[in-house]
Amino acid sequence: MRTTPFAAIRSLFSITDEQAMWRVQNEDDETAFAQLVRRWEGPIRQLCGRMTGDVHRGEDLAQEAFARVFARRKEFRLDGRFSTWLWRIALNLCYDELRRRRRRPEMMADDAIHDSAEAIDSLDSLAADDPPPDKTLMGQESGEMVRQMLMRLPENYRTVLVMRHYENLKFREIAEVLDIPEGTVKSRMAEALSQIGLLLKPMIAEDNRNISKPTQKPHQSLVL
Amino acid sequence: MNHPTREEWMSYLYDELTGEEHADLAAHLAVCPECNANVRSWRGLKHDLDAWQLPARTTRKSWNRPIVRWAAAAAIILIAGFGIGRLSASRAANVEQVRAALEPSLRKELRQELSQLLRQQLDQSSTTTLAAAGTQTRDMLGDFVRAYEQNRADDNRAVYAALARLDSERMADSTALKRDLDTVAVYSEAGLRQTQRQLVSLANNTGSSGNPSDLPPN
Repeated sequence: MRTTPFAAIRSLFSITDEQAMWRVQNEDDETAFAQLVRRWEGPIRQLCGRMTGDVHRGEDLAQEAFARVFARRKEFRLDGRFSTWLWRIALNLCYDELRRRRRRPEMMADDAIHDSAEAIDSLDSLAADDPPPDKTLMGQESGEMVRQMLMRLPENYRTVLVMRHYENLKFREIAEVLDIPEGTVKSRMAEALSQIGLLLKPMIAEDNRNISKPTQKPHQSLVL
Repeated sequence: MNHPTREEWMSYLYDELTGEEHADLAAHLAVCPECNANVRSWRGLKHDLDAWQLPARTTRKSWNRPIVRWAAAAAIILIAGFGIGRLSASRAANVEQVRAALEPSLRKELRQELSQLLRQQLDQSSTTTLAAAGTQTRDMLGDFVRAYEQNRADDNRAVYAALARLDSERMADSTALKRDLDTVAVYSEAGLRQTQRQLVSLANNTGSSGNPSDLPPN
């Protein structure tokens, strides 16, 4: 998680996650639990959304994760870090969701339609105050392209990439969550970047062919 | 040339190296076109990955799904009901405040109900237990009294039998004693008679030689 100076100062006057979890565990303190949800709801929702490639499902999974945290509050070991435990719970829910999808391929087709509808919705929502439409459109397309390519990555590579790149966890923290050596995390990250590069290359080339305006330099950064 | 490993480059890309380590890799990058190309490629990919942005919180727009429509209708009804309820109750407090205000009283009521229920169950249980204990005690006392009377009757019978046996034995002894006494009396009388006869005969024998009147008459 990114920490701003304001957040750092505020954290001095607030209880730690582990202290809050102790209250939840021993006193069923709803206020402490609400505090934990406020702190972690965003990152967990982002993780689930990125891992499943579905923002809405990510929100549902995040809620499930917190419900599971509360249901299993007695299982939390106070000598461990709350964040590690929470990431694990959320990741396991994501894996379960992905397994369910693999068992029901028809859901994938439905999701594809749903994703297309989402993409159209997001394009419809372009506002006049936003950057120029063509630029925003390209950004949306690139984002959708990245999302699709990430969903093609093997889960273990995607997990590391999402946690390091999007959730900004350190390699050491990812190793702790996944319970694997830090070196393995780094090698998976390198492999994930290599694979995503290979996946993106043909799409970017095609994209560049379609956009052939000489005054613009679209997706300059996407050229590998 | 010794190239740094991919793992080291990952730490470099994501700024997880110490200053010295970072400087070493940067120096290598300056002289190694191969590593330089790789790092540039990875940096480009990092930038590309940023293109996928998730909204802070979504507003779901899948209105074309029937289940969503039903859920929306239910939500509208619920919200309307909630709004009407709030208006009729003329309360301005928000949900959190209402919840915070209600929770202690609800907890108190719940605790009271639970304690009352527990007390009732305890009373009922103790009554049932006492009744069962009383019945059992009565049964046991009845059994004891019956057994006691039976034992007493057996004892009485045994005592009567013993007394009767003793009485009969006493009677037999008395009879035997009387018979013995009679026998002794008969033998004594016979002995006396014989003694008397002997004395008479002796006196007769002596009278021929002396005064027989010296002997007492029989």
